[in-house]
Amino acid sequence: MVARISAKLPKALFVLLIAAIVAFLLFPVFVVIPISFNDINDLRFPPVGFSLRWYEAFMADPFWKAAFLTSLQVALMTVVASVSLGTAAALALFMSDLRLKPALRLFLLSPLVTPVIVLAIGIFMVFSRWKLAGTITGLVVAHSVLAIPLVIVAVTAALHTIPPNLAMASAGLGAGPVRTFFRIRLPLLKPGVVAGAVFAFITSWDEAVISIFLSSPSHRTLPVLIWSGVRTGLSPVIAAVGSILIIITAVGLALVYALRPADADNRQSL
Amino acid sequence: MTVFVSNTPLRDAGINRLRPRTPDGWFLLLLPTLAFLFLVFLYPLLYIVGRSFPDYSLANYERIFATTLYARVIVSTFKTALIVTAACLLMGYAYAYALVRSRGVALAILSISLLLPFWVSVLLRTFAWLVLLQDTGLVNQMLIGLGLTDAPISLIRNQFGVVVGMSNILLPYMVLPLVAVMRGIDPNLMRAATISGASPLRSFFRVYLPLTLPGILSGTVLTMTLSLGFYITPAVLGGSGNVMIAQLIADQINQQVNFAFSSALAVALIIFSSVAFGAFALLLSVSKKKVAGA
Repeated sequence: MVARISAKLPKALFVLLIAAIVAFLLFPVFVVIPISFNDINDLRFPPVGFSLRWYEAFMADPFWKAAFLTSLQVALMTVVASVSLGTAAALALFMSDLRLKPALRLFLLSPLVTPVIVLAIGIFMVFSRWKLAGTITGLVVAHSVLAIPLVIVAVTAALHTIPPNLAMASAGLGAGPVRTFFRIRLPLLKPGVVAGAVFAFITSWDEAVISIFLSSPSHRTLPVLIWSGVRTGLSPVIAAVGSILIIITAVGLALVYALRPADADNRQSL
Repeated sequence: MTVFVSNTPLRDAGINRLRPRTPDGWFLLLLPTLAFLFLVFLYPLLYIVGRSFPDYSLANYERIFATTLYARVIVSTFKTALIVTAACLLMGYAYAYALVRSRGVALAILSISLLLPFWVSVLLRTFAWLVLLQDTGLVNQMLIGLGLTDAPISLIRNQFGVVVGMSNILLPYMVLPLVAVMRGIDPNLMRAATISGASPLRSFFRVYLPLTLPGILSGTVLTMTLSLGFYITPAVLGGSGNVMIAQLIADQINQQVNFAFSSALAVALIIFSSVAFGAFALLLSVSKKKVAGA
């Protein structure tokens, strides 16, 4: 009996520890949603009452509305720019047999490990001279720098999952390289490209540090407004906006996830 | 036919056959992206370096190390980064182990708990911690409710708040490399150690832990280098006593409008990150050789 308890006790403690870490990870994400429904002007948790007044306040405020539209516009344009540039780069890196390939890959992925604050002031100083600071174009270009490596990673991962036999079969059946590319590789790449697009969207949608430097009163994104809100006074409107951001992120990730089984099924049937 | 001339394995042969006649036609596809990143990523970084030496003088760098305030900020940045990395390693090791060992629902819960927060904005999670840790926040309410304290304890505007917020954000960067390494460990090795008479603790420390060393080192270097450059979280959750380098860099632009000095601090941050990165990369290659040789 004693032996059995002493064998089970460490395991129970371990499960408890892991549960605590799960709570630590998830709590800050989920606490934002309930506090946005507070009926009082305070960020109380558990919430007091239930109301949608902070969502109404968000939609009635011209500043928040303008920021929402700016964020959406910048994020969609970032997706277009970074998916085209990132997919092209991933394909080139995968197909070419250049000697420089490892060095080029390192360079293309290095924005991921560069401290964002350094990038932010560099881009701010350079864009100020180029008259790009405070413009939509400036925000899109800067966000694309952060998003391109993520698209490259997602598309490269998809390229590695395509069985090389398929391309061989296509060539064996008489298709030229161009035709094989457009008829075989490109359709199979779709999940990777969609994943890259979602990651690019989320990156731009959430980006705060560079945007703080590049925004102007007429072009502010949601994170920039949240940032000034957090620093000046805590309003439940921030929780309402935050909940919208979190839900959009979760929907995007669910989309990436939903596309994955379809891809796996395809491969099984082949 | 390239297939017969080249000595690449069969798996690559198909790809070779499909390559256009001009061997580096694909390289052209890389040029727009390279040009883009040269212009708006590399050039701004080089611009910072140039800007930090006005008239080729080292004055800005001398100022960093000669001023007690800045030296203190650098020390406190490293201190915070080390505490955060240690906290992430302790939590992350247990979490990665659980994730590798679990199946079904448990695996799904552990994966989602890791990946969803990973993609939720740093600013929002920092805001959530501000709400939870403030004097009237949930944590203080609970502490008072449990009778552990009479008056609220200050959990923000100090190092505690910064460490909680940062380790929450950086934990996935520690867990993911650990999971990658732990997946590759043959469970029979642990079984063999047990059969040979090793206690669970002994087989963990003598067999499992050494095998996970590469994961520990890559997780540590990633967490460490990322935490050195943190801006949002220390600015919101920290106080005046634990300012980090990134905040100094931003303040020099926003408040002092001293672009040259801000640039010098940014170069210093890059150098510190690279040194930390290089030191760990060296350790990693040494540890890999050791594991391979064992």
